[in-house]
Amino acid sequence: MSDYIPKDGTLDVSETVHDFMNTIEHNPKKGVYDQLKLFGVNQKIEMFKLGFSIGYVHQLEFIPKEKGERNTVAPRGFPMENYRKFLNEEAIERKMSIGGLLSAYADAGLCHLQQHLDAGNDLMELIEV
Amino acid sequence: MRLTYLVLSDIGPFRGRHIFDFSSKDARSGYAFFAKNGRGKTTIYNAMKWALFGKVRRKSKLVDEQVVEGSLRPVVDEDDYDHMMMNYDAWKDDVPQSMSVLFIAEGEFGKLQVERTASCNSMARKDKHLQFSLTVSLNGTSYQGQAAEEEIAKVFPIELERFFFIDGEEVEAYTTMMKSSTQGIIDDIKSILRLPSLTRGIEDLRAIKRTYDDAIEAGAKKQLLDTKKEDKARTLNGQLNMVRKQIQETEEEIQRLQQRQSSFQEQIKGVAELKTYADEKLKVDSQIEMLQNTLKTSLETFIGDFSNAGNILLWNKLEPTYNALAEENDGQQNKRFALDRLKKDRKKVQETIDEFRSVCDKCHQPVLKAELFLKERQVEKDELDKEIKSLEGSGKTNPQQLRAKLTALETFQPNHGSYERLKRSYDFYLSQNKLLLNLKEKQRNLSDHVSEDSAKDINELAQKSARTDQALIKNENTLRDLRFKEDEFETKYKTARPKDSDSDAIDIVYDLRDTIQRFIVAIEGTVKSYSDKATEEVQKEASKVFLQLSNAPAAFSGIRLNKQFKASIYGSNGRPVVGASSGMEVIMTLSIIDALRTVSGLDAPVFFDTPARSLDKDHKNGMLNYFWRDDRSQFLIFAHSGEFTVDEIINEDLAVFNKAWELMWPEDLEMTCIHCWSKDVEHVSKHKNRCNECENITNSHSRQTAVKEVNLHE
Repeated sequence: MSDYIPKDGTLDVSETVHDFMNTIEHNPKKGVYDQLKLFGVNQKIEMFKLGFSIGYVHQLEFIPKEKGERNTVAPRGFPMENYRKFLNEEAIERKMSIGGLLSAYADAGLCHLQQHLDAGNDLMELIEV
Repeated sequence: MRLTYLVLSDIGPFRGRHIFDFSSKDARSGYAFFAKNGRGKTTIYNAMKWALFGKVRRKSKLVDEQVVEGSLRPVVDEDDYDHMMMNYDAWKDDVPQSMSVLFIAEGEFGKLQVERTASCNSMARKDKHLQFSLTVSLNGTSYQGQAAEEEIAKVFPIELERFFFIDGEEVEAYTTMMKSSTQGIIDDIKSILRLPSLTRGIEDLRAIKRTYDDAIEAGAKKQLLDTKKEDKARTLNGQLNMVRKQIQETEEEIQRLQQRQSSFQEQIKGVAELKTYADEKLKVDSQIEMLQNTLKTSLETFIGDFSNAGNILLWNKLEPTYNALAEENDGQQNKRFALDRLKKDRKKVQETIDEFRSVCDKCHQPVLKAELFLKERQVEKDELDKEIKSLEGSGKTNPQQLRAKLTALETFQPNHGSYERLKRSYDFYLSQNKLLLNLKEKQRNLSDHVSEDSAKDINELAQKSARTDQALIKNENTLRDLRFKEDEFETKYKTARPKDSDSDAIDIVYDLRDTIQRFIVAIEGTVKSYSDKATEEVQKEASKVFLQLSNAPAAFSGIRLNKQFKASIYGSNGRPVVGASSGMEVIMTLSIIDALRTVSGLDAPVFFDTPARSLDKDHKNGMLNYFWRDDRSQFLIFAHSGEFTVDEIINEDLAVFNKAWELMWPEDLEMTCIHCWSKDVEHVSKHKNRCNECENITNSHSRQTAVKEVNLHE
């Protein structure tokens, strides 16, 4: 067994994904209701979690990191240890931090979601397994 | 006034008809009836009272200085014929029975003839069986019944009876009354001074004034009530006017709205086709507006439900792991329970081995097969140790780590039904969104037919029309309510408004009341003034009479009356006389009575029964000298033989009477005919003489009174 102990790491998403996150955010002040929005304002963590779930459950391939800045998702209130409980082994295998693993899955998941929606597919197809 | 004739028929001791002729050319006022007791003096006195007033009372009595009036004397009474007025023989023998008195007088009023009769066709036992009749003739005019009584009262007022019918036996009672000033004498004196007639006038005026006061009070109350009613009516009228104004305004507003509505309808008619599209567009707009609201809600619901989407999805992946871990955890739990149980059993076996003895504690006998027993327990213990070791060796996972992992995974477990809820809210949002898109498409299509501005204008027009309609309905409702209010206020106003009152009438009542009040004050002043003056005159006149009648005029200054007509004799020293004799007091009373007559101007004869009772000779003589004068009213005395005799009056040169009569029974005469007074009579039988001149029989035991006029010239 390896002696590698994964660190917590940071939670971040690519610029593209971050932009996408903004498009699925519903701002009541704008008064637009005829476009599907998935989250309320300040729910980036929830979006991140959804992205991770999609990526992890569908075992999507990680997207190579783009050049440029990555957008950090504020880890405040993020239950990193709970995730560690079932990601620790994979993190060891991939020699990644837990945050890094989470971010990779989230990036892939959210990107997939964007593609899925852009393609005009049903959102719930992604949720149903 | 002078009495001219008196005719008595069957009254008292006078059987048959007896005529007394008082007419005379002589101016002297004195008339006298002389008789012994029982001969009929008082009967004549009472007969005149009965003729004038229709009733005769028994003599008054003085009880505790109060005069108690006597009871009425009956004309007939079978139970008390000693006191009845009708002649006993007439009552006993005559059929029909009759008693009558004819009283004829002359005066300023002319000739007065009064005839009162009591009669019965059979024998009357009581007065109720009699028929009474009164006929009065005044200057040839006849009066009957009540009218006749009223004519008599004009000349002989009954309230003044005491001042022309004087009963010597009652003078003492009079005196007592005058000395103590009782109400009775005060009333009498007021009567003779005619004060009651004046005060009656005041009472009448006061009664009228009270009527006016009541009317004024009622008027004032009514006025107050009317004022309140007027206030209320005024308020109601104000409200009514306000309502009417509101009605007018509302009617005008309705008219204006109707015109406006007509105008709108005309305009709408002109764009009828466009209006169909406009209406449809309006409807779609409205639906879109409503749907957007629904969409907003459904999106928010969906977003709320979608926050669990990550966990829902993740749990699909984690759930098998979680279940496996949970199963492992359960297995570990069971193993722990089994280990605990085995360790407990092993401990018990060990304790049994440790505590075992080969001798029984109770019976102290050696235990059979002890060794075998211990050996079996040891085997049992070894097997338990083997099982414990086996269990403790199984299982690699740390239970604590296992539980921590389970707890961590549980945080990703979504609530039951979360997915279904999410699916439902998602589908609903999509359906609503689709509907919205369709409506928007419809809206776009409609916009091709009717421009936004036109639709807006048409809608505005329609809205204005609708608003006008609503305003019309509202105003019509208001108008209906106002008309109802108007009716209500009108009814209330009509009820509340006081009826027209004649304010002039109440003013007249005020004036009349004030006038009457002035009359009352004036009359009261006059009465008081008259009363004071009359009292003063009575006092002056009474003093004059008293000094003339007194047998010692030098000793007295006269009589004084206070305001309550209490009389006192005053000495010449100016002090009241204490302990005056009864005779002196009788003279005082007579003086006052005469003074009252003089002051009041009462011109009626004086009938004085037993006048000299309790008077000494000087007083008797003085009285006759005073009353029997030419310048006085008739003064009739009814004297018994103890008071005056004809001889005494003539011989002692007393005032000479005009006419006088002697009343006698036959036994008072010796050998004299009572019919023609002839002395030429002869005895014909026991107690009977026959007159040789008139040939009538005179029964000397008869108690019928005969009247003989005294001839002054004889």
